[in-house]
Amino acid sequence: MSGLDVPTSGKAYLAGNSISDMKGNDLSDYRRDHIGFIFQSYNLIPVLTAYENVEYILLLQNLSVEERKERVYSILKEVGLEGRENRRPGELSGGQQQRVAVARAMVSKPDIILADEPTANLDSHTGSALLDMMKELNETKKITFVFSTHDQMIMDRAKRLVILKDGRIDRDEVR
Amino acid sequence: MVFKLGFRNILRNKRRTIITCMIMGLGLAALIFADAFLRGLNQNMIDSVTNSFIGDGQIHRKEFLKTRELEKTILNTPQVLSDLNQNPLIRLSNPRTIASAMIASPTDVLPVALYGIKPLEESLISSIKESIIAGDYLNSYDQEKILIGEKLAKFLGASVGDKLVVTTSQAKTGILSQELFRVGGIFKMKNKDMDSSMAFINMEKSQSFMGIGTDVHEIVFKFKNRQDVVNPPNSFLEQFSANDNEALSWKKLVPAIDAGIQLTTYSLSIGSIILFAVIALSTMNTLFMSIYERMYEFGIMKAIGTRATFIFKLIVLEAGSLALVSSFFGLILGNLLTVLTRWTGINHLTDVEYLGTTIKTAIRPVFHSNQWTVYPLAIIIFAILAALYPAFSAARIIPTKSMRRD
Repeated sequence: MSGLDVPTSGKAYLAGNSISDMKGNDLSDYRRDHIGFIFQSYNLIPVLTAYENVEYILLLQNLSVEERKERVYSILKEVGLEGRENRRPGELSGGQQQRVAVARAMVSKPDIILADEPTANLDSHTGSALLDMMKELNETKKITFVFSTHDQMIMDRAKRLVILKDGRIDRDEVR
Repeated sequence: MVFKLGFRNILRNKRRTIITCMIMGLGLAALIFADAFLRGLNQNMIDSVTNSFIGDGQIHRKEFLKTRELEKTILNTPQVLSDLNQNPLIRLSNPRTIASAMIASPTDVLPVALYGIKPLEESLISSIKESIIAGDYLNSYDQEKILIGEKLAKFLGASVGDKLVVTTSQAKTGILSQELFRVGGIFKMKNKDMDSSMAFINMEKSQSFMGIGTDVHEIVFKFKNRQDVVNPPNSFLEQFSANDNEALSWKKLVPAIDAGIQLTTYSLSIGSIILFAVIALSTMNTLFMSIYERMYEFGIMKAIGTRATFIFKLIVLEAGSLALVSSFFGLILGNLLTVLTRWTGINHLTDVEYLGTTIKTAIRPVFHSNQWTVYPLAIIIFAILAALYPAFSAARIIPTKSMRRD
């Protein structure tokens, strides 16, 4: 689904495009423009500030300085990191780092954001606040979030729940 | 962004960056200094050869240097001397006569190379006058004086004022000719051969003694420009090699020195290659360590849409930046060392006889444009070349594999 793995059989489609047939730069560009990633351990680039981490993906998209600036400041404000733009990941708390990761995932206006255990390294209070923020973004910005998780908090908030068991879909329920 | 990332990544592991920069910087500094030192050594050797006695070059009759036959005097000597004096390349020229002779004291008889010289002119071209350690240099009005080397004086048991008998055969007739001379002075050229087997008398005396009229066997010349000394112009040598005469530069007269200079240049090239290889391997090692530490990060970067070429450029830029910074410090250090040693001079080799020539003055390293351009550029190019393989490896990282490895 993320275009990171090659299917052993069959094909994977995202927004009507067969991502399993894409290779090299095409696949990189597709991930950059259509998929946002949020990882369990934030995975921000440690030598870049919060602003630069979010700006990075826009630079890869060759957007102008003005547009980058506008979008980065706007998204950081949305995720509640106003005033922390110039801090490096090491100077931010876990929750704040994950917010930067969310901002990075969203800033390119992707079709879908894949979040891998995004609350695993956060305390329940911070995790809950982050999920509320994601839910709000989903509802206001109409961005689809797909989570892989064991966290009941996420499952409780999800609109559709697909339970996997031994690599196969065990249950698929729409709420 | 690639520049920002590159520079910040370099500063990420400061200790490793400093060590790598030190290897590159010290390597470059060593290379610059070695180049300057060897250039200084070569210059010193050339000066030692050309300023002591040989001159920048000499003219003889063909085959004279092989046979040493008294009859083989230079053809048209006055014309050759006149041409030399009018030649715009030439600063000085001076004739000499040369004969193989036996020199006898009450205690011993020894073979010598007997030179007839014009005292005043000779003092401008060679260092015999400055090498006198006892007695006086020759003068043109006292034809009975002879100068002998310190070792020869010791072998003969002679000192200033002592009488010596010199025997040689006259040109054409072969009749033995003997003359009594008084030791006017004793010289020490700090060269074993010269100090033990050379003697100097006045030119006019030598010509009558050898039976060669007003002819001479050798004309020594000095160029005006240093560049002509280092690389004597062939056209000049050809011009004075006409009419059975032969003009030879110091390179042909003392081939061991020229070979020695080529050897030092060759040694420097080999040393440079070894140094560049060390720098390249060190850079490669540093980059691989850095890449290994950042495998997961590269995986993430590729996952979120970074192209392989961006990562390739990033690694090459990091190597280039390391080399650039190191070269800057290497340049400063190398040149500082060169300036200091040029100022103080390196005396450790003074009076050492090397390839038949005695290094008489302190070696002063010599600056050359290569030290500012070729070597730093070579360091940067080698570092970038060394970065290509690690960069290629990093660019080929598969996100899912590298992210699992963490």
